[in-house]
Amino acid sequence: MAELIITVSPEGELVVRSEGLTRAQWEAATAELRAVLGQPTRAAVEAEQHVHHVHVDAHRRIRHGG
Amino acid sequence: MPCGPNARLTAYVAYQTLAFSERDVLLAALADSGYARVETAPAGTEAANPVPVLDSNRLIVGSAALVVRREHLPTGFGDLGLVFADGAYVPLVPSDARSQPILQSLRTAYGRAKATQLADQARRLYQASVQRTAKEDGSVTIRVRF
Repeated sequence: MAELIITVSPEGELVVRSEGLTRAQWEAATAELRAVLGQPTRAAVEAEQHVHHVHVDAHRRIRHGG
Repeated sequence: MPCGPNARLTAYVAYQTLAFSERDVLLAALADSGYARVETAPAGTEAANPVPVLDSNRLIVGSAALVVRREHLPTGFGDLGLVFADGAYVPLVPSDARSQPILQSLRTAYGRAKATQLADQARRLYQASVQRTAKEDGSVTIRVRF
């Protein structure tokens, strides 16, 4: 599960945080923010988790028991 | 194999101060602040800022695109004008300490309205669930899960 967490402080500071969004989703979200709000005051990528790819042999035959 | 666009990120962007650049967000913020009645410039005339802004003595002190009339504001404050210039709305208020809490409250409300708009967009885009938590100090946390 991924989360986009948006917080507003009592002073009006807006922070948009990604917890597990893909890089593509995050880049799309932040590009839209930059287009409307301009450059952020602060920005950082704190961690990047690489996905393990699973390869499936699609040609394998399924053996039925018996 | 590199993940590229599929890598999952913990990241943030922060905006310390938001310009009042979006009319619909600003109107939502004004309503959230208790100013549901706002005089607005007729369509197409916003850049001319045609709505007069009056002080507490009913003297015209300027003109703006959006105006909250003085009867909705603290006694002696006058009107709250929002002048449209260079793509954003600039507050026109008395230049004394009374303006600060009103502007601070409006900035926080604008942030909340912007956060709500962002959450709605993400909810529609990703068919996500939204959980909103508001505190007494005016701060808000919105979690969009998908």
